[in-house]
Amino acid sequence: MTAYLIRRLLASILILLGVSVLIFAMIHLVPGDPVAIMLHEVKSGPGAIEEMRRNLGLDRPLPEQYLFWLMGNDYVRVDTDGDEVPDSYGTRRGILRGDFGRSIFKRAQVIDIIADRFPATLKLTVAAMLLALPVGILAGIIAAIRRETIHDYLTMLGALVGVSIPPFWLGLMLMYVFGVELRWVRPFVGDRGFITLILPTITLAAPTVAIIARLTRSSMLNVLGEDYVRTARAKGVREAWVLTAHVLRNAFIPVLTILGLQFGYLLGGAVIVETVFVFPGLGREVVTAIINRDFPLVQGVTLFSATIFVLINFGVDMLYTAVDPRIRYA
Amino acid sequence: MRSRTRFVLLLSTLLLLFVGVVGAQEPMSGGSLSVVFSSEWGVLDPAANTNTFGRNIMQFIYDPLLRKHPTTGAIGPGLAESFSFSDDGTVITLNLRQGVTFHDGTPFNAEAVRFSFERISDPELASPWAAAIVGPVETIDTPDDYTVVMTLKEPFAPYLDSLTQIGLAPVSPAAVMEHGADYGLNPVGTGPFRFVSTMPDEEVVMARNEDYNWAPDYYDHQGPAYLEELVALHVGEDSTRMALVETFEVDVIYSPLASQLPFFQDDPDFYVPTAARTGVPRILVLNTELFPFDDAATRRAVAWAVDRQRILDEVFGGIGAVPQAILTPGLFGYWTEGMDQWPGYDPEMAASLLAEAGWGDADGDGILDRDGQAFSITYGISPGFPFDQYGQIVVNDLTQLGIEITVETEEIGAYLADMRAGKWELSGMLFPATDPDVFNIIAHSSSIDAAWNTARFNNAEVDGLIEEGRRTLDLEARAAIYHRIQEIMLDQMPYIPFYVIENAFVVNSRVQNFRTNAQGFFDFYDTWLSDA
Repeated sequence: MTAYLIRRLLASILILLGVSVLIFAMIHLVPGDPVAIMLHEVKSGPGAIEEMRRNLGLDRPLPEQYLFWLMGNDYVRVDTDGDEVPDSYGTRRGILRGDFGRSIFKRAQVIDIIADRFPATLKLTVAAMLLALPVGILAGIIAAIRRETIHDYLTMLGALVGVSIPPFWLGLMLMYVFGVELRWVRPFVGDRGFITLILPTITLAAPTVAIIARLTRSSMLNVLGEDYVRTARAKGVREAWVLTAHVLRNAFIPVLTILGLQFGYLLGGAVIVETVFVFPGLGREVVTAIINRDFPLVQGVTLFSATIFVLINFGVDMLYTAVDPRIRYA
Repeated sequence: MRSRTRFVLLLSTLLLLFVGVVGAQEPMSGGSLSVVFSSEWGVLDPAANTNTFGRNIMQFIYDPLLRKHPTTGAIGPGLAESFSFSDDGTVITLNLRQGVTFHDGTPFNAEAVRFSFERISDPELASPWAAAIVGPVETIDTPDDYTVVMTLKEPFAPYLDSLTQIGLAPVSPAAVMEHGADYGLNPVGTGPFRFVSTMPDEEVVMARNEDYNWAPDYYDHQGPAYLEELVALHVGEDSTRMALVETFEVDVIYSPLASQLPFFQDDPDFYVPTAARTGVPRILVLNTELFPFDDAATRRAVAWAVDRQRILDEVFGGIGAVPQAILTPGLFGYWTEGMDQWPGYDPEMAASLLAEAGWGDADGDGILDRDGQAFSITYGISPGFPFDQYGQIVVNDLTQLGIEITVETEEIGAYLADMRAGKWELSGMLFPATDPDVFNIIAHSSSIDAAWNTARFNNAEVDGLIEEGRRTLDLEARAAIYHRIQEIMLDQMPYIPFYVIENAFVVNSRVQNFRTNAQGFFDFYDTWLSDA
């Protein structure tokens, strides 16, 4: 097990290193430049763009910029004015030493921005997961055991709607109906306690509920036809016990796999919900950062998300062993 | 019974009128006003931010050295009580107002001005405003506590306009020393509101500066602002912003959906003020280096083909104006005499001018051609409002003339880069500005590639006039220079202006004295709440 853990850890580091190259190359190779975007807002003559690019070090060759981002530039950078400011804009210690640099537009430490924003996204994601998991599994079970009845059809129709409905539309409708017209949910935007969590959570959870329900249903149906289920029933085990201990437990493994992916998807999918409900999460932040070509911020947030993804997948792999003792890692 | 009802009605009407009149006369102090912006505003450090909304919010926290009158545009005192140019135009002397303090108690003086300017020029800050100072300024001297003498490398008329910019507003040296690179999260200025807290790009809470006693005289009152608290919020989704103002959760929203404005205009709970933005209107960019727009006669002809009134009405809900010059009315140097010469919408005129310029349909394929070359262009746009909407009208108008258009859509960052690199024959942009020196950026040959001369317009006379305009301090002579530039632009037509921007706001009717500044943005210093 320890050997397996070490192997996984090393692989993860390699993956993240690869990701860092990819992220860096992608954001730098698409046309567009943060300085031009910033300076197009004000009248700035020829020379201004060039000067700011130089001050930000954006005129340097890309491999050099990548290395500076990765390992820092404090050992090559000469302190020109002799004030020995360690935390000046252009000096970095590099992500390997925990310095993600500063956002070009916000001027704040990228790591601080992530620390500010991620809790809101995480809260939303976890809330959506907590809502989607029981509802989705329950709906899937009902559809499976009442197969080809009106219960099944209605549940699956609901799931179809849930998975197809555009989240921004659902969000706006919920806001208009429950926030503006019925006034049941006030305030309806921002992150101001439990009340403002309700509508975005429902919006975000809707497609996940649908996916979990469909998957649980089909997975249950597969297992319901297995010999050991028939055996359990034949020896007189109560139906509720058959369903929970035998069917659901075995049907849960594919659900668990998709759960890990869904969690990652929710983290990303929160972007639209965050925008509609003015929820101060990381998703909205990164969209603007990409539009602005705020290189350090995009790179930092994407690398962070990649790390989370890697961690979640690792966690899911570990959970398999808990759900299915037949699975062992060595 | 009936007469009694009428009496009560009459009485209450009178009472309401009375309250209304008293209310209008006596501004009330107190209350909290919330204003919603439609996008991020960036860091609250004037030296590090060029964002339009960012500069708007910073107008509350900081005072610029000089001020522009909100309606006349005349440059007058700000934190500098008075200013003078030396005869040769290379030395500007600013006499600073005394008794001004930053929100943290640091005295405002010549040293603070010098500190702020040196900070902007420091390469380590990588300030977007650096070129505005590093470029023209040679030295900054402080002969005494309240005098700043700036020596310029050469006479530079637009420099006064630079001094009205919030980007060059003085910051508290003590706060900068304390917070270093994190100053932007702890901004300290001299403005009518002091910074209280922020969730960056989501919310800024500001409280009235009780010591404020240095408002420019164009305001209605002196002393502290009426509002006790000012909250700026960012809501990107149009519909959410509408919902917030509709449910009275917020007081003022910027950039509402044009389609919903009539609804608010008819509702007594709201009013919909508008404010013009000066500078260069929204323009179509004709790439003067690429066929077929490398020919001035062709450019002039096409200018008659764009239905500007339709764009104004259908895309912008009638808010704004049809431009009659390459500058917006109200900007210094606006060429009034040229207004009636400016092309209107006349497709027949366009067609006959094109024929005069040698265009016909020799091969009968429905597309114009000249010397065997088809009038076929690529039109670059960026997705979303208003590119998509006005783009359709432009494409329609030009196609009617027999021009073949391929539309290429690129996301804004790429769009700006490619437009600057001259990728397309046709594209579009706008340029807010408060000084006609904006021509240096959009029309001087040195701004091709390096700045925003996206038409790649190269005209020696215009280059010379722009340089002369920068050196000329006499207002009348300077205005004449810009008139001449506009005359040449009319003849050469590198850009077709099609829409003069006006910002629209939805304001809750409890907000009194809603004002906008010279840049067309909120100014809440005189504003008060009727239910405060």
